[in-house]
Amino acid sequence: MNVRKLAAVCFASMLAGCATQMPPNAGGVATISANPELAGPVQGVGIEGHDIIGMSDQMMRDMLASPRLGPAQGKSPRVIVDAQYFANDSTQPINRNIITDRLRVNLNRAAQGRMTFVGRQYAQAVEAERQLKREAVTDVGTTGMMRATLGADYRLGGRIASVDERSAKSGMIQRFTQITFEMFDLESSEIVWSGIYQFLRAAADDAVYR
Amino acid sequence: MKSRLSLTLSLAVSAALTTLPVLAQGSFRNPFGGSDTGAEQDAQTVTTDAGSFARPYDTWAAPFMNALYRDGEWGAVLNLSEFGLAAMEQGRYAIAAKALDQAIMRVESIYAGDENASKARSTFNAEKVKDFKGEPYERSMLYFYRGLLYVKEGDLQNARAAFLAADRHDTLSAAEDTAFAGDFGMMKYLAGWASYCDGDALRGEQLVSEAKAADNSIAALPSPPRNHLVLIDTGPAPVKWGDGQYRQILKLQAGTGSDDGLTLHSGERTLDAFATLGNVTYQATTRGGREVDGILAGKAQFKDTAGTVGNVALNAGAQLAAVGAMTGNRDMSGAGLVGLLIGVVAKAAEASANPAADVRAWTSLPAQVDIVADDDVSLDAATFTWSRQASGKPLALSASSGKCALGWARTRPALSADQGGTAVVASEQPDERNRGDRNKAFRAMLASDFSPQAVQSR
Repeated sequence: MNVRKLAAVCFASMLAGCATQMPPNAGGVATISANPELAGPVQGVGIEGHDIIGMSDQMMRDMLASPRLGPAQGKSPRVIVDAQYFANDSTQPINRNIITDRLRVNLNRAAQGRMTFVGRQYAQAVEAERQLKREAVTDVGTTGMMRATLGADYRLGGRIASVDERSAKSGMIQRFTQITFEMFDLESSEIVWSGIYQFLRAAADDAVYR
Repeated sequence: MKSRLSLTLSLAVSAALTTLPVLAQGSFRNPFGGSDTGAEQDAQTVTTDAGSFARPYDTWAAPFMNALYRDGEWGAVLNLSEFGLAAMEQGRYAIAAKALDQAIMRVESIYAGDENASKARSTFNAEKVKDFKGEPYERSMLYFYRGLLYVKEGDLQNARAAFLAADRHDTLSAAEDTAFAGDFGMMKYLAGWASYCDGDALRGEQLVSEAKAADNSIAALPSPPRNHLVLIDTGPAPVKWGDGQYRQILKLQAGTGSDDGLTLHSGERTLDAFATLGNVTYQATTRGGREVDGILAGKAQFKDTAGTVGNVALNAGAQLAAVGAMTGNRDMSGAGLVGLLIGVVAKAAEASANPAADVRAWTSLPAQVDIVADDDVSLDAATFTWSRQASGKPLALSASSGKCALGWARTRPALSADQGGTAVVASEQPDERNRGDRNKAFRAMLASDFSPQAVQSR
């Protein structure tokens, strides 16, 4: 009987030996979104598709509500919304056009004439066509010719920035990402509107990858 | 009668010792094996299909495409990185960027709750069952090469972001917290260079200062950086191997040989004042411990313990069973048989435990990256020589953006080893377990995004 008990104890001990001491968060920690106003765990995940949707929608609503970007003296302001002065200063390579394109398109659709959008990124194509018309290579089209292309009043600028942190103790990595949007006056350089979008993400990779 | 019983028992024990461990390996691994998706193919089919898939590709690309198809997601990061680097060297910049972006996407994915990663941590599976992501120095160099391609594309801001990501990944090791944190100054130096070229002198100055503060080896480099840089990958990649009784300790050491005497030739001018910008071998060998090292040590400990328990139980059980049989003591015989059973199970567990470290490595990396900078040098038609190459070799990549220009080349080819290069695209047994669906999608992506036409075009 004592031998059987001893055998059972040995067997149980062997099974217990199967368990290897694991570091904290050995299986990783699924990504969590944290309130950037509060201190969060240290992790990092970057800008994702839903961020681009969320930030462009948020900025669009804010710009539409701004009186400085609305009609004045019966005239709609002319704005340029592109990535020319939208800088990426973060640790995540990203196509900045995807952010500014979405903002421009949604803003144009929602503005309904409150703003006039100038496609400065198409300037080369416009100049080429104007040249053809004036040289009579083509006809003048259906809208006729203009003395000059549109000059703009305001232009989009901004910056994507991030701060990365890591905890060796818990294996968590954390990134705070801040995207700044500004509309500046192309005559006076005054910043007439500002918006900011920020988030804090934290996660931990499986221990085998640390 | 009693001797016949003893003989029977002895034969039974011998048979059990030889057959049960093999059977038990499957029994021990299966509870920790996770669940297949149902789309897994057998290894022979995958190997055959991989060969067919790679056949239409150019000679330089075929070995990489074979490995990509064969290994699926298990080796995707490694194979994409090696292929991307070879494509860069061949002047196929677009497909190189695509390959490196695919690798980066996987490196940046958080593998939380991943079945194969979980298996890698379990006692009865080797570490290399996990999808490859690379050590910090390998992930860092992945971003470095992507950064060079961004410079080629004229996108200096994303180039800066890539170099900063490379710097960040060098710090993402559990042991990099103190001694070696952020000491890969090359990345921040290049990020600073990209900032200056992009017109952001303030950011550039900050990054270059940080680079020099963290890495003494680049203290002598000019600040601000010169506008024209030439970077040359030299020397062999760091070598990984498994040390310890069960190869459970991942170790790295320098590869054999070096490439000295670099000289850049541009028109009438000759430049030989190359300096070391980044020492990849140093970064690899000063990685420090990994969290998984503790897990592998635990596996090795279990293997030892199980073996000891098994030996003791078998000896004791055999003796008890024999004495019990000879004396007619059924309780003693029973105890002996229980001991034998415990011993067999323990020995099977010992045989099944697999603490071996994952030694897969990016073998076409350089030992170091050397730099020469001179704003009066034109990179057009520039060539370089070194101790083992007397005739001039052209730069593999040449990019200019405004006042800035960057050239890049390698002393050792990034082609596959069977074509005289440094990329060891070894023949591996495909690991389809728990990856059926993902591998199906991956191979479809290879066929669509990495077609022979796409790989061929410049």
